[in-house]
Amino acid sequence: MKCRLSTEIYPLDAIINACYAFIDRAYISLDTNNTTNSIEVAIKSKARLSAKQKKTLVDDFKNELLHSALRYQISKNNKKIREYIIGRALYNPALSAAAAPENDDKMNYLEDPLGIAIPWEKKYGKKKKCASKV
Amino acid sequence: MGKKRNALLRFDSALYPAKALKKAIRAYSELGDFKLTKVGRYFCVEINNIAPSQQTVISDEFKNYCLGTLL
Repeated sequence: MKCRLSTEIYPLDAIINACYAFIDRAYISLDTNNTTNSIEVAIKSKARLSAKQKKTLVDDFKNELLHSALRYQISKNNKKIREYIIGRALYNPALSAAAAPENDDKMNYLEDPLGIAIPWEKKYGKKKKCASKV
Repeated sequence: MGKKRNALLRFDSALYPAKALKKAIRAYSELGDFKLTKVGRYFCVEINNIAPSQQTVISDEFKNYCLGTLL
């Protein structure tokens, strides 16, 4: 079975991704046609299939192709924002400086200005028992 | 059982880079003798010394492997 796909409609990366998704079900080879700017995909099923099943396989491949093309388009559209987020997370020195506490090296960890190390009982005292018992 | 049998596969050089094909040949080198040549815009892979019963399977699986190396 052969499919002729226009490279003006489907990007090459999307075609290759769709083919890759089918290599567990079929043997696939690609060829170009320079005169028509198209790629010919030859699909040979691994299992013996009826005519109807073959048609289903090709139809599934076409659906996968659309799916791949869409994913490719989304990935292309979001490339800048993706790179920005990764760059911001990994490489921005200003961000890591802002996250670190100021005067980090001057801090003395033995001091306890907020009284965190003091036990609760010592800080607030024990609760007095109710004087009037019913 | 004679083991010498040839299969010739053609790969469009616009789609399949030589590096990908060489990688696939390295992976399949234990199954037979592979030879890569360039004829026009096609890379030709000649496969020799594969078991006759496995010739089709190896050729087809080799094509799929080449496709996988494109990613």
